[in-house]
Amino acid sequence: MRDSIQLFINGERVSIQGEDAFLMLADFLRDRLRLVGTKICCAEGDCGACTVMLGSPEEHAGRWQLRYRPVNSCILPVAKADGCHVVTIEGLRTGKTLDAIQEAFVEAHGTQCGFCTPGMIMALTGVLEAEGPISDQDILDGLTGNLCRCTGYDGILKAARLVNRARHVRLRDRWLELRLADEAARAFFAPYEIRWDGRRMIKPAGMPEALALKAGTSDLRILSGCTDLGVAHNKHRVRIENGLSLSAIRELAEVKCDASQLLVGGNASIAEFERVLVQQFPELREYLRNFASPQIKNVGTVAGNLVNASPVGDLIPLLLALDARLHLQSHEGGHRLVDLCHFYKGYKTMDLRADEIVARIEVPLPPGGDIVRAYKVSRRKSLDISAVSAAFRIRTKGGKIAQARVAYGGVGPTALRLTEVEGFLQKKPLTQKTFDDASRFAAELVNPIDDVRGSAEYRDILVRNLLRKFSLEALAEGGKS
Amino acid sequence: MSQHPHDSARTHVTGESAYLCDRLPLPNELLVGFVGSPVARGRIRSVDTTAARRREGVVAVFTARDIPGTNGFGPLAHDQPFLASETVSHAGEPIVLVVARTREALHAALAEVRIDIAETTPVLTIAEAIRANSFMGETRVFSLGDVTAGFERATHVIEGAFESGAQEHYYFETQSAISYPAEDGAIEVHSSTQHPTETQHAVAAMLGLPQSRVVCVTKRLGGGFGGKESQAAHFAGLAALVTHHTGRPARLILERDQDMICTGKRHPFQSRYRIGIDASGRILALESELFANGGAWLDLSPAILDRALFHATNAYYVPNVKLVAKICRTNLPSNTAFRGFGAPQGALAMEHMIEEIARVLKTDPLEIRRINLFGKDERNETSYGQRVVEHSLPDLVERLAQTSHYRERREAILATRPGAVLRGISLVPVNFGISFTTTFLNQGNALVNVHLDGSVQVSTGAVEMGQGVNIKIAQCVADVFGIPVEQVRVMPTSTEKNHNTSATAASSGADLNCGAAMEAALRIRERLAHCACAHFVGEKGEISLKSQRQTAGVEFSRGVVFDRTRPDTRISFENLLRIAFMNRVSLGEYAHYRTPDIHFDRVSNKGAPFRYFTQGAAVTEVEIDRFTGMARIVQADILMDLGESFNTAIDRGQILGAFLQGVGWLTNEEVVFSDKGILLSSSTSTYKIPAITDLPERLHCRLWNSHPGPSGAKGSKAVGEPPLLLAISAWTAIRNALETVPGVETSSLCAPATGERILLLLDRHTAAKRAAR
Repeated sequence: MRDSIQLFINGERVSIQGEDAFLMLADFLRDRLRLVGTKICCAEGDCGACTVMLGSPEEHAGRWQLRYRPVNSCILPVAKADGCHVVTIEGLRTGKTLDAIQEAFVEAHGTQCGFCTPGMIMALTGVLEAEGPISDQDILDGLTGNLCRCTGYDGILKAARLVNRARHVRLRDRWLELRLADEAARAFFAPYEIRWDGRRMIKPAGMPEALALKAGTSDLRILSGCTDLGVAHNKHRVRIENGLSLSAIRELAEVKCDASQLLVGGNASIAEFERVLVQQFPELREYLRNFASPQIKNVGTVAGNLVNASPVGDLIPLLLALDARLHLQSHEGGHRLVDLCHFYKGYKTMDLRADEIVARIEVPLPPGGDIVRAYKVSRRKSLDISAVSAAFRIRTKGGKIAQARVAYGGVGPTALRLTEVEGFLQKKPLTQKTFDDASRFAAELVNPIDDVRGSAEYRDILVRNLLRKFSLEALAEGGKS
Repeated sequence: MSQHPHDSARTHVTGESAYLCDRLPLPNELLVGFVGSPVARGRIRSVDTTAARRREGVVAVFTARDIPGTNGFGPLAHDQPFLASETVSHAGEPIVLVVARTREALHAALAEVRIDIAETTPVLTIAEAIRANSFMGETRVFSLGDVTAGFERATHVIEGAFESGAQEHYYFETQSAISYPAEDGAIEVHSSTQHPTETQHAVAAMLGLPQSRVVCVTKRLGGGFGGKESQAAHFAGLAALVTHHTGRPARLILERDQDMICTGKRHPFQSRYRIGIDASGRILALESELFANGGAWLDLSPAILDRALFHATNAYYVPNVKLVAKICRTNLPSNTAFRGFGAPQGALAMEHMIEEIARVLKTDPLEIRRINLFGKDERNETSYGQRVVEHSLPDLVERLAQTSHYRERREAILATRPGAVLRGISLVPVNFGISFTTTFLNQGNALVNVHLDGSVQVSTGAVEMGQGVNIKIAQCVADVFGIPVEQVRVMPTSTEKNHNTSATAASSGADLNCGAAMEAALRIRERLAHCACAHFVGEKGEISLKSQRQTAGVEFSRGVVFDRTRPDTRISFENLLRIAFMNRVSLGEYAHYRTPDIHFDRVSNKGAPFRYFTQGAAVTEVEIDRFTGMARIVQADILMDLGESFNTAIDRGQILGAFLQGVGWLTNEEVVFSDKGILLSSSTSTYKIPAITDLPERLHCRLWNSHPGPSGAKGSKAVGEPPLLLAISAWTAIRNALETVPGVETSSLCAPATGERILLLLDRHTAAKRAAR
């Protein structure tokens, strides 16, 4: 078994062993390699100053290619970068010649104090990996995860528009002569086990090995996206003693779609889920856009979002409204199917045994005609945790509501479905009055708390208003059909 | 007019620009951290550091007892302890310093320090401070005219109260310092400070060293915004204390959350006011009582309070005015300088009053603003006696109202029935006084060294924190010598080159330091002109500067030097330098600059504290989702008078950066403390500065040089702070949007206007309507 992490950094082969295998990528880059262009500012994946491009191997027509995505290196354990190619700001230019993105930032005055600049440029590098023309919306979407306190973003947006793409070589088209992809793929899908001073970092080759490990080690933590675990680590709340990476298990990363359902692998990223989901539900595009930054979506997983069991957990209300189910696997007990609406038992507690791994999430696709919406209310429009989130789905028949799903996050110890309101809506006419009554009923049922993201009173109003907001859209859409 | 990029633009984009955290650690360097008070107020019963000291990798632990000199710093009174000794005055206040070789050891040891504190009830809010009679500094009174007579003539008198919240600086680079031992006990401290001189002085006093034994060096800041004006000295001092005791380099880089928890913010303000107007809305009298929440220590609060008073009528003439202002002492981290320095708080309260007047008179708030603006020739006296002269604010406001189509857009909004989306538009002017209001601070010095190849190094007291002061200084010096700006390099700020400097603050960095640098460069140029004259006429022997020569005709342009009367006779700048050097003429110069014609008497509170005013206005249009309360800016139109701007790109960056920072302050940035004084919004995930998606959908920013008059460097006007106040238009636009819903009570809308506050106002209205039915 390999006892090191193998990766490439700016085209160079790097092997990480021992204590360093437990570091976050940004710390490794800065402290061990002295690649200090990558900055640490918030240390929790909220500001993007630590953004690097992570190239991971993907198979296309029988050949391995590296696909590059922006990630927050401050909350990404190096153990998760095994078999990847990390490109930092130092790796962007060729010799002394600036990349076209860097030139545009100079020319359009996209930098003032400069601390956010490397991360901002790397995030824009991610936008420019795309084929075809880049719209302003693409730029905004691509830079939502990068804060700047100086410029007011005007120069940054101008710089992004100004990039001479003819002079910018996409990362996927660089380093080709080094044939990094094949070697990266070999490492990516191969296991490792690193032990140091009583700690262990392990990546099994397949699901059976992973389940056996999970059953046999009490404090084994799955390193899913680490967008929460990495934060806890940086804030000295958690020390990863025993880490389990599921990256080598190919089927866990997939999101598959057939006529009746979506099957989301237990290690599939939110970005991949979003890509498939918006094809089915274009009306959720705006919601998913504001859900998180590209850096978070690229590594954060759907299963991680569900198992983290945040009371807000923005995907949870949506998946509740869509009647999602979890496939849980264990070494001893085999396979269990749990409805998401029965999964949460209380604050951060759920129907999940210590030896179980979420293998996949099944999302039934409703027949055409269902009206589905999701809303997120937060202090800031993008890259913020909701005060309240909500998802609604109704099916109508002959001007009446045949089926309803009403789910909220941020109004109790767990995200929840209001089955009483769903029952109330059933068989009622599709009218404003129906929803007005239902919205008051919903507000009576929930009992939110005051916290830094909002008062109980505010949340009560939002519970009511979001259902009313939905009613306007539902009445408009229901009237059409 | 030019658009030279920031002097570090090329290294910023490659990641080469080094901040303190990027400096290569020396092999024997130590990492420093501290344990802060877990409570807001109390008496320290005991501190147990036994376990922390014993941990492998820990080198030392220090407390207040280990401070050899003065355990106190602060710009006005040295009342803030470096390390708390007997009592704690705010949560997060440093008590114990832990020094370790590795980060792991440091954090493990920090967690093992035990501090026992007898907690007492903290005073946190302005209301609590007033009840407890907890104030500091002097009560300040500004007055003009006869308020009683003014109110007697008024047809309407509006009374009310207003408050604005704090703001976290959120500089990207946290407070940082690295201290290096120099020989014989001296210290060289590298600090992320806006004020190297004060940092040097604070470190010297703390260690009991002569100021000459401490050098403070600052290359650049990853943002400052005022947060590193007075408070950086704290952390430089703590790092220096470690070097002092261990003889080793010591690095203290605050983690984000700790920085947010233990450093001060923009002052929250409250005011109670009475304003009297005539039937047309003209203001006849204003009486206002202002309170600032100063936090635990005096810091810069008195100066901030003064600037709030100087700007308490913003851009409006109030013939009879009486303002009384006090600083509340509370158990919060000491509130401090933040871009605008009290002026935004003062002006915001005034703009709230303007909106109140418009509400009472049922008229367009712009009309109220227009009839009360400082006049060009009359109606232009301020409460502190200075007249706002040689300006064009009324023209500027009208020009912006027209180019932005303010009136048509407002009419269109009012003509539409508010539905799921509420819209509002507002125009707000700004009139920002330029100069430190403490007159003696308005001085700077510069050192200019011309090298023989024609390249130039300039050193000043200015600190580059992103605002572009370096490129402005370089442009000024390059223009004096007629050489390309690329030939001029601005060097790191260091107290051994430039001493007794003022903070880079008050928007004055360019004015003071360009002034000093140009003076130094001009003196060198004068000497070079002598050499050129001597060379052109073929003087024999060593050139003497005492000789009478017609140097006025010597021109320095495009790298060559010539006599205007005989332009064919010329010499390259480099060759002239060689001649000067061979003739033993100095190619270096140090110069001092003081802002002319300013004075202010802090007893009578009258004078002319400002060299000039920077003026501008903004029109902002917002949309509010009626169901969620979430607001967004759909359009902003900005017009600023920056005189003869000599770097429009840098200035535009300052305007738009300040604008959005101000929008953050007034909308979604909310500093939240628990009722025990613990910061709840203590991280990037709970304190939300604007993101790129908060950029106005349509954004127009124009400069207009409206009027020659007093100005700063090369006829330009200072830009750092004034445009922050333009964001007030976003807040008033939100208020105007709410007013499109009949019956919504907007008088109680304070700042920040968060989505929650907006929704609560809308909902109370709906609830009241429902109850009435």
